[in-house]
Amino acid sequence: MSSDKDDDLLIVQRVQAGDKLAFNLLVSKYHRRVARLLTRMVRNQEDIEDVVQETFIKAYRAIGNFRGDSAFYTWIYRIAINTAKNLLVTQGRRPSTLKESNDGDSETFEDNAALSNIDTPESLYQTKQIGEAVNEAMAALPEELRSAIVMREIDGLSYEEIAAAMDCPIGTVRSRIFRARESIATKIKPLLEPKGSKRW
Amino acid sequence: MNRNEQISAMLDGELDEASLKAILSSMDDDDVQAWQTYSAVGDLIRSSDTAAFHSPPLLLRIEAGLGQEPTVVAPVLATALVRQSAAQRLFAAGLSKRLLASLAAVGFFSFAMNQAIPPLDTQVQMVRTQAAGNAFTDEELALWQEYFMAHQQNSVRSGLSGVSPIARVEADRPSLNNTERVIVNDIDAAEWMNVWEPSAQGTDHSVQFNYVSSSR
Repeated sequence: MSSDKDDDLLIVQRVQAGDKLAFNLLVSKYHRRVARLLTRMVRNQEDIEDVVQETFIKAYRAIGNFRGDSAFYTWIYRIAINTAKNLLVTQGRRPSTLKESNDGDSETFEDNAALSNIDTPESLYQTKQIGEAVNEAMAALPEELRSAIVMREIDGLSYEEIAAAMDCPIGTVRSRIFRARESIATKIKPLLEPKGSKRW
Repeated sequence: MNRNEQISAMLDGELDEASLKAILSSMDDDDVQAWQTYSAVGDLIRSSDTAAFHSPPLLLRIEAGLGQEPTVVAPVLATALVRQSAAQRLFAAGLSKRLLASLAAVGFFSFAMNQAIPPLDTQVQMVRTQAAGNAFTDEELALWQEYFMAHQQNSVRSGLSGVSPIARVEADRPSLNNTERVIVNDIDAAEWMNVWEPSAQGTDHSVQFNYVSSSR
């Protein structure tokens, strides 16, 4: 039914039609990924947050120019990179070792050294805790739920493709993915609550 | 399907347009919370690193910043063409009829080139006769144009020198769902102007195009 490219298209249409709430949904969907990508260029947590905010505001102002030729995330990723470059120029710094890459590459980028100025021992511990909690929650899922959520979230398959792979109706896939999300959310929610710090 | 299951499907872009509109127009705080939670779950499954960048205060800050922005109203994307690939639409129905028309056109031109090459307009008119049985709409033709423009580098144009691509477009017009709408951006217009021109009522950045005879 859908591909990565058009996952967000109907929501973008709503934004273009004047629905600002719909854009907030895109913000909450992508702000973590945008922030993570920016760690390649910007080392300071506050700067990253400033760039993330500016990125989404620029994207909102320019949403009329979004034509759907690329995925919404690819589009906003480019805005984020340009915004970060502008920040570094303003600060008199050269953009760090950012390689030109496509959306897929950017998602799989692993450079923990780039996180050095951002990850305090406390936040690293929290991140590790959350990672372990997610792994445990995934391991505790029934096989059919785990397969469905992995195919969706890791492999990026559509419901139709998952239904074909699992030989079941699309409605069953939708239900399995929902139940998997609910189950994982229940287990990690205590770790996601803000505890007075800026994160979680 | 309960409400949260709908939101889960919406996150994956798997809700139909009517359901999406219904849910967006009635989202409450619980719905937004569910959306945010499922988004976070997805990010964390992909990489626990993203936990370091989940910051509810940041989210509130961005939303507050957006709240100060004037509401944007822009020409809405035409999704009808995007939700299904051009190839899928092209071959969805009536393939055999189009194939026969194409083969007839190729056969005719092969014969014609061995005799004498008539003026282009004559060719177009004769090819149109081949396809006259098909009642195609401008929208259907636009779908074919989209497919043709995307794949013209793979077309058989070089094997049919002297034959206008427009003629083949005419012969091969697909029989497709005529409920789909086509909107072509100004930027794309230059590529289409040999067979399309803007309608008189076009007033914004997205312009409705009407088919124009190649013999003009």
